[in-house]
Amino acid sequence: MIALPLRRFGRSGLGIVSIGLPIVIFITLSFRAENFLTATNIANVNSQITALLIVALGQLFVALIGGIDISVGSVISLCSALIVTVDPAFAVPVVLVTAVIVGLINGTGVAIFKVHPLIMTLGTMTFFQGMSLLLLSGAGGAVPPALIAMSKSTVGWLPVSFFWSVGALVAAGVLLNKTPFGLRIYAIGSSEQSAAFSGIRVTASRIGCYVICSLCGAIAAIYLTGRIATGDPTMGRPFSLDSVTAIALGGVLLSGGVGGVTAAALGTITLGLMTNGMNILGVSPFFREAVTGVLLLLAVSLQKRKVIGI
Amino acid sequence: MRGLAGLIPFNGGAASKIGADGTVFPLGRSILATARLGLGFIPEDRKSEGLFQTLSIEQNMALGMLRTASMSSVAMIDKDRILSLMQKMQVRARNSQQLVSQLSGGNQQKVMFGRLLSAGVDILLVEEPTRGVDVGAKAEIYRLLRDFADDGGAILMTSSELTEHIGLCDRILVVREGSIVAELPGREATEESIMTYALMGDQATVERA
Repeated sequence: MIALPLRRFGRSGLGIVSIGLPIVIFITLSFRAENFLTATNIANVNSQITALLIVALGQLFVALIGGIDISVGSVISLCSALIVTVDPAFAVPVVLVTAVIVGLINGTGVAIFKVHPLIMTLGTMTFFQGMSLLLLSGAGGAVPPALIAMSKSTVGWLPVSFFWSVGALVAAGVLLNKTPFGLRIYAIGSSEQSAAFSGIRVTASRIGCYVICSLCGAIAAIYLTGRIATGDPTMGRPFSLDSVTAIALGGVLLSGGVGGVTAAALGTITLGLMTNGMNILGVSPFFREAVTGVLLLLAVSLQKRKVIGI
Repeated sequence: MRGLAGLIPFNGGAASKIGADGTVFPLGRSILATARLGLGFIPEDRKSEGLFQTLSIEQNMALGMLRTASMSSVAMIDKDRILSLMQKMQVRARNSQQLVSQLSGGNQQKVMFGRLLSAGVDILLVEEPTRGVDVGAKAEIYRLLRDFADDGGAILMTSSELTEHIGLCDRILVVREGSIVAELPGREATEESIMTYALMGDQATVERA
């Protein structure tokens, strides 16, 4: 049953569970929670999951080459702290450059010094979490008004977060499916040795994936900081694990080579609906955190894997 | 062989490719440099060293074609060219979207050739061209190699099947303890003559004379 969807949907990673689960949750919530099927709440879900979607897409790139980036949460925290501390005119460029640097550090550690991605990004996660708390000891600071407008306004009747989601999906989709870079990423994830033997620059591509992941973290941080309208040095904490859970739920193989934008989006929607459902059903947010952990373990253990471990 | 492809360093000596205009390109620097010079390497173990099992035929072949394309360019896979190549090589598959892991050994090997042919290589380094390939497909692969050579390409081939060399090669070089002991024209070589040189080295010449 696990092998069948893999054959039917190929490298997209989609399967019966990853497509069915969000539908089941959606239908269940429509009946169980009366506030669920209102335009306000749907718009609310969209705004809530936009940041997670952006981060999950970044995580997807890293997962496709068989890596994992748990430092992306700290990147979000650090960027959020940076946005309110540096000169407002330079906030966005500073944040993006910082993300590129973090991605280069992660990528270099993993691809050149051969540190295990979990250890490498655990190290940078702790380091950058510390840095962001040094910069900003607690939530506060003033966010440039332009950024707030970029994440909170509406275009017509659509919240602007909708455009953030679509933009991120399209950009990631084009990069993965329409460029040689995307094809090379799948090739590396499929067989690193074959890729190296056929002249693909494996090291450069892997570093590129980590840079993309960190950049996605920075973009998510810009969106979130604007939405909350204040800097928060611990803002990114849940995102590291949530993004991994989201793509795993969508059917992306954490051992590499299998997965796609649709899978990442479906996984994010599943997780987002679940969070929103528990919210309006009045379940404790701590319970939600516990459920995320269980979901991650379930999703990964049910996957057909090449490598035992992650 | 692996030294030429740039996978492992040479034990000694050097090799180079001489271009049509006489320029000399040293070989064995790195995999990437080798690939850029137009050398294609077909490894013995295509499953773990050559093909991408979870990708489709089309993608496997396109990876060769896109080698020259830059990282950022938006490339559309040239489906027509891949289809015509597949037809020319008689790859037996449902369509170009089929996963390589579902193909037979012979057809996988053809896809491997296809990737290099589409990349425009002019020298092929082939290890065990027909390992794990059924008899029918073997003949087709021999024909592919022959066509490639007739079109002006060069092939350096090793195989653990002696008869394969005799049937396929123009020249057979017998290596014994790290040095070439004999050069036989493919048409005149027999299993016996090759083995004599391989086992006895230079002494074989003396005895024969």
